[in-house]
Formats: sequence, C-alpha cells, structure tokens
Amino acid sequence: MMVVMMNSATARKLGVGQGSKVKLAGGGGEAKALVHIYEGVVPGAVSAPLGMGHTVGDEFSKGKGDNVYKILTVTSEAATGASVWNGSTVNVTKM
Amino acid sequence: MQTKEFRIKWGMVIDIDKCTGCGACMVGCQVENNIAPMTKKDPYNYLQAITKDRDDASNKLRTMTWMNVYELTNGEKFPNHEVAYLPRPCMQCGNPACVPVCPVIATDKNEEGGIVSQIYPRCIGCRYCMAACPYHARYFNWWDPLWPEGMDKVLSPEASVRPRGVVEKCNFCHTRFMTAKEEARINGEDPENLAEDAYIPACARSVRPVPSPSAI
Repeated sequence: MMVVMMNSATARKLGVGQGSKVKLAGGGGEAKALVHIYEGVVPGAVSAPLGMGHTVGDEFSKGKGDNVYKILTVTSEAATGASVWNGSTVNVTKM
Repeated sequence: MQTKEFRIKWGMVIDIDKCTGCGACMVGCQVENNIAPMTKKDPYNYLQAITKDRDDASNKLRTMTWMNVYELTNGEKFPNHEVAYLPRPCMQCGNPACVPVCPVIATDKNEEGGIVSQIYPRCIGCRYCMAACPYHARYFNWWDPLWPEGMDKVLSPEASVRPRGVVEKCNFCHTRFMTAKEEARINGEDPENLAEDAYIPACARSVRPVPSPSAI
C-alpha cells in the first residue's frame, strides 16, 4: 500500500496517527494509503509519492505504491491554457 | 580496551551534513553484493513446511541493508523540525564485539587492512554476533535468495551469494580490495602497500561524482 506523509498537526486534525489507513479522495478518484508522520510536511498537506506505483509486474513489483495522478485535479492555466495540477486538493478520511 | 592494530587500516569518513538521505549508497551496496530483493510470494519454495513465510521489504526487521541510512530528527514539530541522515555500514570496530562471541570463528579481524571478515561457509547461524553488535549492522538470511525472473543471470561475479541460515554484513567491499591487490600484482606493485584510494567501497562509489583514474 502506498505510504503518504503528513505532519502531526494535520494528523491530529484528521484523527489519524502513525500507520493509520486513510482514503484520499480527489480529482474524481480515490486511493488508499498508510500514514507516516513526518514533521517536514507543511500543515494541511499530504505528501504522496508521484510516479511510484505498479499495477502490473511480477511478485516483486505488482501492487506496490499507487497511481497518485488519479486523485489530482487538473485545471487549465489562464494565460496559456496548459494543464496544471497544482490546485489539487484531496479529502482525507480515516478508514 | 585494546584495539587490534594493523599497518594499514581501511576506513571511510561520512559527512553527515552532506548526506541527503537519498539511499543511493544502500542501493549500490545491495547491487554490488548480490542482495536479493524481497517478496512475500515464493512459487519455488519446496521447503515451505519448515521455513518461515517470506516477507517483503515493508518489514524493516528483515530487509538486508548492509549499508543502512537512519533518519535522525530533533523531535521538534513543524516548522522547527530538523533532520539529519546517518549512513551506517559495518563500523569495522577496532575491538569488535562480534568477534569473540562467534563459536566457530566465522568472523574475525585478522587480515592486514583491518576489515572484519565474515566467512559464510563457516557460519552456523547462531546469530550471537547479531546480538553482540551494538550497531545492528549484521543481518541474517531467513530465506534463500529469490531473484526476479532473469536477475540471477546478471549478478556480480565477484560477490558470493549466501544461503539461508547464514549471517552477513558489510565487508567494506572486500571483493574490490582483492581486485585492487590483483591490479597491483599485475602492475608489479606491492599488493600489501596499496595507495590510499586504490579502491573505494560501492557505497562511497555511488555518491562520488567523478571516478579517479585508477578507481574501481
């Protein structure tokens, strides 16, 4: 399962702790993850490893991580019309 | 307390301020020393009845990290949190705690160069050395190595592969040391009197940006 990081203040607000299972919902998708408390993350944010995930592969790689893109929200940048993902928010709920 | 002395002592300096915790040294060590990746599933285990179930790399008590990077924090909350990373290979102690406890002398500090040896065929797997090591630098092979399809064909020919039941640890890339001594003999130099950077271990090599002309 994917591991995401958040600091202790965020975790307390969400009612989770180290190792808790959470569901991240956003961008029309959802993902399950385990919580790791790391104080280097800014309050109110969840840090997730983008690009680390395999849904196929052998017994060594299959099922590790997750596709974080599915919970990101894509919008268009006003001036260029290019796709941006930096406005993404997720709802984090304890499982 | 007496430390064993040698004419030449190999060692390394790790600058904690520079370490970013990237883990390249851990990976380099595992590749150099033929350490198998871990998996829960074992389609080939004919001994399942008498061995513990395999586990994957999420179980940090079973990961074979001869070089292991620890994360140290000051315990403060955001935004006063500070972190440092501590790479920990076998510390090649001057007076190793693991040596006198081995019942079969599978580990010793008796070779010119000061590297604490680990002789796999001699080890009986009692794990007394693991209990003795204050740095938790020793690892036990709970299972035979299991390689992804084809990976066993591309292992390093220099490092031997260990079976289950044997303790292993960082050996300061002793195989590279042997290669450096061979190079010296070929070049007509004294193998017992190598230059200071005649070889560097794989962990240091994976962070060193530019190889020196004779580096392995």
